[in-house]
Amino acid sequence: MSWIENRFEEGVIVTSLDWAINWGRSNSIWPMTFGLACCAIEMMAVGASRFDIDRFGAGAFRATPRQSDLMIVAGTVTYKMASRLKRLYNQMPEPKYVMAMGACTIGGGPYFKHGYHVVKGVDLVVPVDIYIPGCPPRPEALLEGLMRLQDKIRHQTRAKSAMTKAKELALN
Amino acid sequence: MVLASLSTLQVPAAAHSNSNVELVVGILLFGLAGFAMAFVGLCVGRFLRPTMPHPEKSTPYECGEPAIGESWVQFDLRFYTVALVFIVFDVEVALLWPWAVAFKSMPAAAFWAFLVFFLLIAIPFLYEWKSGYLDWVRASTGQRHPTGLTDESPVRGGTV
Repeated sequence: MSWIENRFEEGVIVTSLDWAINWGRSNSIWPMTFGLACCAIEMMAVGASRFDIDRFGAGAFRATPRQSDLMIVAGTVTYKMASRLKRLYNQMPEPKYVMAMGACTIGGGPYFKHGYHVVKGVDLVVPVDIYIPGCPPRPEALLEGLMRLQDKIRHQTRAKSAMTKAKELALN
Repeated sequence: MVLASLSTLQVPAAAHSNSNVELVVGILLFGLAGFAMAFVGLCVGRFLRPTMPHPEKSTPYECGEPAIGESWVQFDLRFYTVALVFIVFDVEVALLWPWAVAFKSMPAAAFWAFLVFFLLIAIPFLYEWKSGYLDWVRASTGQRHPTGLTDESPVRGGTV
């Protein structure tokens, strides 16, 4: 965690700084180019001009995890891919977010019962922030998911968390 | 710039040395401001950014695959000769092209000058060809040793 986090009580300084940092982060989410299956077609449509994810500042699809903030897991995650996915997630710098796009990534989808090779939900591999249901989800649904992620980022704070306060109380 | 203007106020007599001082102070201030901007930026980033190191973050690959082997591998020395010959011909073609384009409207001196240059490249090339450096599989036998003796191998004998 950064130096500034969990350092101050809630107050004017922290709220203004929070607003500035969250404003910057939520409006410049750079997704990773990471299409695994048919959901990636919808993700490409979102990146193209008709739906245009660039309106939300998230159009800079990076070809490397080291420059990405968001991993849109678009498609079926097989067990073979899961280890790679985990490695790519670990290579992403903080703060990082994961979207589970489509039924397969949420819980195995049509491969839930007989898919011997499919991970039954990508949240078994990496922590997921946003779930976008659909098979595949419409581009509008992906944009909706992105807006919910922006809401999530805008509510982050650098103030002391309740858990930190409780730990301090317990120590005292 | 404030310091520079102060120095002009204090020493109004010596005009020549004064302008020199002003110049030096200006450059110093310029450099200091540059350093300060970079330093402040780095400091702010250090306090604001999350630092969560992970061994995967310092791995060479960015495609999700673990790296196999290491980058220190032995490289065939014969590629060196090929690269050298390539560079020679590369430069030669690059110089030959404008010469060929302007061939019709060229004085005779330019033609002969380039012919000399061409010979300067052609003679080492012939020497290289003769010495067998263009052969990929090069027989060490039959080539003259630096000592003047020939390699007396029973398998691949003979002289060039």
